[in-house]
Amino acid sequence: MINKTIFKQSIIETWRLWLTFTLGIAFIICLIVGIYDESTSVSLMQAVKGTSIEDLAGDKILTITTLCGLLAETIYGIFGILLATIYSFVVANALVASEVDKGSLAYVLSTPVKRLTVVVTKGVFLVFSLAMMFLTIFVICSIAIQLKFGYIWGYEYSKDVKAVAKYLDLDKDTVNQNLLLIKNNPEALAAGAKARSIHEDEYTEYLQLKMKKMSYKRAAEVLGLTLEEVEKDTLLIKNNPLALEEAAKTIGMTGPVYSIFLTQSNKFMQGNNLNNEEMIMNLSAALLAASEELDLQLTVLLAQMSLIKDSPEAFSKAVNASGLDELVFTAVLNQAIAMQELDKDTNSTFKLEAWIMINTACFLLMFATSGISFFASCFFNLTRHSLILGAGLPLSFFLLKLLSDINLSMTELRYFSLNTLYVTQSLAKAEGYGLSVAVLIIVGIVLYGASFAVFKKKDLPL
Amino acid sequence: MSLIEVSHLTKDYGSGRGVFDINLTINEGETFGFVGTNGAGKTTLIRQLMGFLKPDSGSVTINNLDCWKDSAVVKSLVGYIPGEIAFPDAPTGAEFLRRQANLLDAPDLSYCNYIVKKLQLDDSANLKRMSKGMKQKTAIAAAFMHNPHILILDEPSTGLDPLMRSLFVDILKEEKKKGKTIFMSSHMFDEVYNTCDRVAMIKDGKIVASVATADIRHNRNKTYKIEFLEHDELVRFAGECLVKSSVITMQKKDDSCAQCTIGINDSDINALTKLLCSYKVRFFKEIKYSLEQYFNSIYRVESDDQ
Repeated sequence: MINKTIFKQSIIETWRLWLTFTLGIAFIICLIVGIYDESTSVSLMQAVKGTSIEDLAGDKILTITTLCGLLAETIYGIFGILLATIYSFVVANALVASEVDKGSLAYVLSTPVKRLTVVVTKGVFLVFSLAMMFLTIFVICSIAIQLKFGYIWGYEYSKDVKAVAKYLDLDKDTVNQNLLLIKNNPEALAAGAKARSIHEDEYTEYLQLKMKKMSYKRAAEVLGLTLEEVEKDTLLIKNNPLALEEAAKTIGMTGPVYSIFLTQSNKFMQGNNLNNEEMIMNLSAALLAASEELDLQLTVLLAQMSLIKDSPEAFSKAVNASGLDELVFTAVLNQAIAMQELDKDTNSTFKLEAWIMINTACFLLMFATSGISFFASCFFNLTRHSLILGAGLPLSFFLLKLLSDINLSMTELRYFSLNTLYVTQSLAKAEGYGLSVAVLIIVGIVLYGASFAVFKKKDLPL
Repeated sequence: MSLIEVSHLTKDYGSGRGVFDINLTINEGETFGFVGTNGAGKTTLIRQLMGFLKPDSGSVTINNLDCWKDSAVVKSLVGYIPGEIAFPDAPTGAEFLRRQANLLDAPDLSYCNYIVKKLQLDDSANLKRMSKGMKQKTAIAAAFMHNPHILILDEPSTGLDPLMRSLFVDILKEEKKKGKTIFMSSHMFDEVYNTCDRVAMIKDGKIVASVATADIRHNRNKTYKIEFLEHDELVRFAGECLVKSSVITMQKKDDSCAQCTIGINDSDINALTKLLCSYKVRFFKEIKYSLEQYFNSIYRVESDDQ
């Protein structure tokens, strides 16, 4: 079914083009990885939260602020797909239509190699070269991500855990599993806060939140519920001895202590709930006043809210603007900072699964798209006809998807594009892409199958 | 035994282009020439022999194998020179031939090297920068390299200089001696006349005539040109020449002309020479009867009929 000589010949003819495109895409991704900064993207997310921009961008704002999301949406979604599309139609055309047009295919077909073998070999080569392209990009960029963030191999501990572990001369994992070690040790607390560049009281608040979240997660596992369900009603934990015990264990507490911890923190939360709209208004007013006093842009201040406390003038202005009691304001601010820090943590949870899926999905989209180009190449005898369909359609799909993404009034256009099946949001979260992946595979198989059938039966002007 | 059989073959491209109801039988060991003007349908027929085109109706078989359905098997018997010279990407001629040998599953390059040497081909040259003649030589080497039983050659001598052309004819004759069956197309009559056993002429997709070259070569009716010293002598000769089979045609009708052609059967040649002794003759020569004249005469008859 596959002829080695023809396969080798195809490699010799196209490897330079392949290398150029592969390194081109890999370079762009490495560049993005290089300049990507977690805290900026988190502050960007904070800045648009609750504004009209968030409504406009919908899910997307959450997507592009994570590294995976950024790579899936911008790099693969635009540069990667465009370059790989160009590569695939150029190569698809060169493999068949151009050889028929020139007449050089006569030499291969005057040997006892079957026509079907010739076309299958060339089709398999095209798919193989695309697979190798994305595998190479994946490997190069994984190395870059590992070097910069250390996301690929091993668990990445947050800065404060690293700093405290070093200070206490303990294993990072031990510290991470037992945050009370930090909370109960003033020196460790100072070290951790310094590592996160926030104040100690803010850091304490953060630790509290973090421990709660970890324990909820464990409790949710034991109870077989989702994290949200448990967060909504903590009584669920208290009423289940096993869940209580397990949740307490994850953060190094005993059951009864944990129970008190829960009651206390919840009582506090009810009083100063940040989810309360009035509180958010108050905080916004305070931040605005502080940013004027500090002569900082609001977004910059948003990313580093603890700066307010460093300047007594700004702090008093902020308290005035908020219209709150100084103590209450401090509590609210601490909570806001703690939540932001927690956000940074979840943001940096780079999902390896998502990263692999982005690459796989991009390859599968190119498998289907190259199927169009390959079919055109097999169907037409003239290069220019082959390119009209084989380059025109994939590029149109690309542009339609781009237009539907950019312009809200044109979202309907996405139903006319194959590229819509490359679903960035789901990929960045590594969930819910099954159907589109299946459709892409089927489309690709059908197109390549049709190409083989057409080429086997058509008249060749050789 | 017939090796290549074409029966009632039709491939219609519309507006009178294509081939129509072609019937041919080519025997094993025969060299068959196929002449016609550009666009007459030579290449269309050859493409069907190679299984590149599917016949609309009729059939083409080689060694009792259908050229369309069993084309891969058929090609193991065939060496082919395409009508157009376009090579796949390869750095040198030698590299191209090596790859071709791989596809043919014929790792022995000794015969290929023999042909390359014979054609004085420098196969280390860049394939893309080769001259037309060099490319054609490479194509010839590619077709002959695996020593196939059947050679299908589409205008094989295009681009070759006269010296190379005669070298190529030598190679063809060698192959013929080995018992190869050769099917070649050409638009040059003398080339097929010199190499082929049988020649068919195709015009507008139909075979208009088919002739064994031996019949033309051994034709007993010959034509001679005679020029006399004076016009009067010619007039006298025309009046007196009563040799039975002769047909005299004057070159021109006016007084200054002293030349004529005479068609005569070999059996009457002595009577003619005897008669010419009594005339003042300037020269006397045979006009060779060529394939071209043969086909032209058929053409003329055909167009006269219409």
